[in-house]
Amino acid sequence: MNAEQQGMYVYGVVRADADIGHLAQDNGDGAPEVELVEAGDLAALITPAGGDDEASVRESVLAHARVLERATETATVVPMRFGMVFPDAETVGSDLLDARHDALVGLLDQLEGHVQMTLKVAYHEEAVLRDIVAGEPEIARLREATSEGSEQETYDARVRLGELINAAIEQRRQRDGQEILSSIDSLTVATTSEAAESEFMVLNAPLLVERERVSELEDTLEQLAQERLELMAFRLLGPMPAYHFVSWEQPAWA
Amino acid sequence: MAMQPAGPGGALERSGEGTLSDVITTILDKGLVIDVYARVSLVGIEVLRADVRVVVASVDTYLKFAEAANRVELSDSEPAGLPELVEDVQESGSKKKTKGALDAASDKLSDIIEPGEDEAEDEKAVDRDHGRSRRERRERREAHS
Repeated sequence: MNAEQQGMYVYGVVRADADIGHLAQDNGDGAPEVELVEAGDLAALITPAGGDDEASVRESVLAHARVLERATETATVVPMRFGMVFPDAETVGSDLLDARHDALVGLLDQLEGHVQMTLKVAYHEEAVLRDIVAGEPEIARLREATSEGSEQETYDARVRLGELINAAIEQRRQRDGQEILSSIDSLTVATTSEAAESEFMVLNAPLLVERERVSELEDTLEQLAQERLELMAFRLLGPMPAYHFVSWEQPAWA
Repeated sequence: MAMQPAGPGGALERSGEGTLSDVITTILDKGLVIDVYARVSLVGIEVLRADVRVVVASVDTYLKFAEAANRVELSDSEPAGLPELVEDVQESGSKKKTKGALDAASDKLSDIIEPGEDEAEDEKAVDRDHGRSRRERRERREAHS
């Protein structure tokens, strides 16, 4: 593997004195060997770049997440976007660590002691549909009306039925999502919202959380999930670096 | 993938990075960029990006919702044991849900995860489709169209 030809892949930036010794060890999770390039008080996590075919990229995506997640266990990390490849280690030092030194130090300061957790909540399909049919007479009526007859005969009624269900889910999503977020509001520093990954998704919310409050957040979410067990499934990802909360501009939450 | 079973009586599913689908939607387009070194030529990125499912409400969605609503059994007292019902029910128990009331909802990029990768997690799996191979999914999609 010729690193000079392929370039240097950059995962993220840490302080030069960050405790990331464990990254050098192979812990068998398939994460690649990570090297460090230092410049002054900053260091970048790098590795020789892989191929750009689909299989290699899929591997690299997982490696990106794993390396940064492992680094986050013990250090504050500013994540780079997936796919940043510099010509060589020297350029990483000059064009990233030196050229962007002040902004990077500023981000590391702001992110100190914080991690990202991502909350994904989705309705159980059957449960929410049952709830909607039971709670909305017009939907119940259309459901009855469309239970028999040819596809052609019931087409308009089925479209109308689906439209009403869509609106009813949206209404519940707004209400339930807000309710969950306000229940954890005091435990988060910042919250953003990502696009729904399915029709039944209630929340897809990256949360910026103080490291020390992660377990408190878990406990609160566990309770919220218990209370909604019949209707929703809760998933919490992380701790991970603050992917959704870094930018070269001063972030709004800071 | 660092999936952990929830604690005793746990309703909250915990994992580090989540599924490949979670990873892609988390890291794609997020993080700091230095434009001149962004390797936009990565063919694979576009393939992954194309697989990210975007939810858009359309007549097609409405029809699927309607179909799903018609399939839902309203009350527990309705006779069980109908062949199609038995086929649909994954497992009994409060946490288990029946198989995709809305088929399209599970048709997302998590399918590209290597087969078997999530098998160990079957107890907790939210998306029954994780283990489905890409090829199967394509076939399914073709069959639908």
